[in-house]
This record gives sequence, C-alpha cells and structure tokens, in this order.
Amino acid sequence: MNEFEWRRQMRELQQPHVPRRDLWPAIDAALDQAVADPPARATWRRMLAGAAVAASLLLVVGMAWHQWFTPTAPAESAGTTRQASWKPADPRLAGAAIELDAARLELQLAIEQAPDSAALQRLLRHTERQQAQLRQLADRAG
Amino acid sequence: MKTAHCLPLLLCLCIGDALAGTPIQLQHAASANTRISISNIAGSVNVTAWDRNEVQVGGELGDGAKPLQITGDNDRLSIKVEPRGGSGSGWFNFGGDSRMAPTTLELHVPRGASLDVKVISAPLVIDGLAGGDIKVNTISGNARIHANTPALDVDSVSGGIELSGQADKAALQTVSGEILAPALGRTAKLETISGHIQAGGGPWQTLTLSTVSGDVQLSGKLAAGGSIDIDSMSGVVQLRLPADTPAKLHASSSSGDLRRAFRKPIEAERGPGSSLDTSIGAGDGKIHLETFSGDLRVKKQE
Repeated sequence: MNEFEWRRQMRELQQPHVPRRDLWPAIDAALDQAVADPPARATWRRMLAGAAVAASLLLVVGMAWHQWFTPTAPAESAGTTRQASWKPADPRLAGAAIELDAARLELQLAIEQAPDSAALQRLLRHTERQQAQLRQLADRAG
Repeated sequence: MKTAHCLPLLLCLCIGDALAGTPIQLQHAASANTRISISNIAGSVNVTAWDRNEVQVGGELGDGAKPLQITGDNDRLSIKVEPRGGSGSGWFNFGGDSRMAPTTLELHVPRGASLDVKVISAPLVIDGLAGGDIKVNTISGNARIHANTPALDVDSVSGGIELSGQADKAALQTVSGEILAPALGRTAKLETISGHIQAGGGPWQTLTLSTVSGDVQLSGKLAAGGSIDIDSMSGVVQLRLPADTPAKLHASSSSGDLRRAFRKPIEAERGPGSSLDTSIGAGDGKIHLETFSGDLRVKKQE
C-alpha cells in the first residue's frame, strides 16, 4: 500500500456507515426484559443484606460469649510466674528468694535440654527444698 | 576557758555513754558436756571453749533488749537475746531487731559442750570446742567454726561458712554463702546454690556435694569402699585426688569441658558433651561427677 492509497482509505472512514440490519428491535427487546427483571434482583439483594446483618450479629454475640463466659484457665506457666515472683518482706531473705527462683528456672531449662540427667533432677529437688525452707523461715519470722 | 574547750568533748562522751548498751556479766555452773542454746538477732556471738565446768557470758546488751538470763539446768542451758515487750511469734523474730540495738555476746563454755546457735545477721565465731555436736542456723551472718566435733550441721542463707579443725560428720548448706572447709571428716554433705565451695580432708566414706552455679574445688582422700558424688549445673568442678585412689571414676558433662589426668575422656558421638569412665587405683570406691554446662577437672594430687 502506497501513501496515496492509505490516504484514500482514511477519507472513507470519515463518512457515515449504515448498518447492514436494523439494530433497534433487539435493543428494544433487551430494554423490556430489563424492566421486567428488577423485582427479583432486589429481593436477592435484600436477602444478601439480611444475611450479612445476621452474620454480623452472630459474630458480635459469639465474641461477647467468649469474652464473658469462657473461664480464665490457670495455666501452669501462670503458677510458675506466681511462684517465681514470691518475695519475702524481709530484705535479708529477699535476695536469697530471687537467687533460688533464678536457679530453679535455669534448672528447668537445663532439664528440658537434658531430660535424662539424674544430677539435674537432684539439683532441682535440692533447690525446691531450700525454697521451701526459706518460705518456712519467712512464715515463722515474728 | 579551758573548761569551755572541754565541754564538747564531755558532751560527746556523755552521749556515747547514753547510746551504749548494757554490759553483760553472767555465769552459770554447767556439766562438762552440757548442751547450750544461744540465739541473737544482730550484733555478734563469740563462743570460746575453756576447761571449766561453767558458762560465762560477757559482752554488751543492745538497747531495747530484755535483761539477759542464763536459763535451764547444768545439762541444758539457754541464752536468748529478745526484745522487750514480747519475743514475737518466731524464733528468729525478724521484727525484733527493729526494736532493739545489736547485742554482743562473748561466751566461755566447757570444752566438751554441744551448741545450738541461731543468729540472723550476727557473725558467729566458735573456737576450741572438742567433743560436742554443733548446730548453727544463720541468715546473713558468717559462721567461723574452729572445733573438733563428731557432728556439725550448719544451715546458712547468705552467710559464709568457714570450718577449721575436724568434723567427723558435716552437713553444710548455703544459698549464696561460700563454704570453706579444708578438714572434712568421714562423712560430709555440702550443698549450695551459687556459693563457691573449697573443701578438703578425708579419707571420706561418703561425700556428697551439690551446686547449681557455684564453683567447687575439692581435694582429699577417699576411704576404701567410700564414695564421692558431685552434681553441678553450671559450676566448675575441680577435683584433686591421690594417684592411688582406690576407686572407679565416672565423670560426665552435657556441654562442659572435661579434662582429666587419668585417662582421655570419651567425646559424645553426636552433639556436645563428654564422659570418662576409668579406674584410678585398685579398689571398690566410687566417684561420680556430673555437670550440665560446668567444666570438670580431675587432677592428681601432688
């Protein structure tokens, strides 16, 4: 295609073109159908909206139930923390209490790494016995 | 003019005298092997043996303390420092030291006496006893004991324990206090959490030692058929034994370093750790050493 031919085709594109068949009847039929459909779609949308509201309510109620009625489980770790945080009022015993707590926690960690170590088990028993003795001292203090 | 210059000095002396405690001068007849209970909260307690069947108490009673008495009979005597207005509910009476000043006790007791001493933050010295049992409870006061005793039992929290002389049977326990006992007898039990232990003596029939993080230096002899058991978590254990110790040695460490003078340790096939099983000398004694992360050193005594 040379330049002159290309320019001629471009000029033809600027002219109006009539469709080979009449398009209006099909467009009109489609518009009629659209007018007939809306009630069904609206019902569907209302149902969807209702379901969403119900699901939201269910979620809120479920969360509230979980918050108010689930008992707070006294986990072992909580007990351990409580035990670890025991501190006698007397300053002469407080340092030893901290030291014993630290030793017990270190031993427990070591036992996790070496569960078969009889020595670590014995040391843990000694440490816990000394903790019990310290508690007795604190209790018996006047 | 000269009198005016002396006035501040006189005033200071008067105040000092007013703040000083009451001198103690008590004595009581006692049997040669009497049992004496002593308790004091703060100040000091010095017990010296003498060759008389008599207990003598000197020193100075702190302000706020009840008048001191020696109670009991010749075979069982008691000396307790207590605050005025009630002794409190516990024997330690922790609140008591806020109501009274420290008391110094200087005791002379029969050489063969047995002692039961309870102190809180008062340092304790026992010197020259021979033949009687000794039992000590202390919180933060150091206990220095020079005695020859068939049974010594010391329970301390943060106070150190020093033992010289000889204890046939010793049980020494601390949380953080150090234990220094170079002349342990046939049976010994040493326990600490973080205090260091330096001990020796023997020949031991039974010696058990446990430490969580305190280092240990032990040097001594094992009796025929005797046993040594040492447990440590992270404390370094150094054991010195004669080359002819009649025992089998088992030593192991999960992650600590094991060095020995007797035989090459066996390294763990997988992961850190090492162990050693060997016979040192001919005999059926047993030595068992175990640490988690603390290093182990087994050496020959020079």
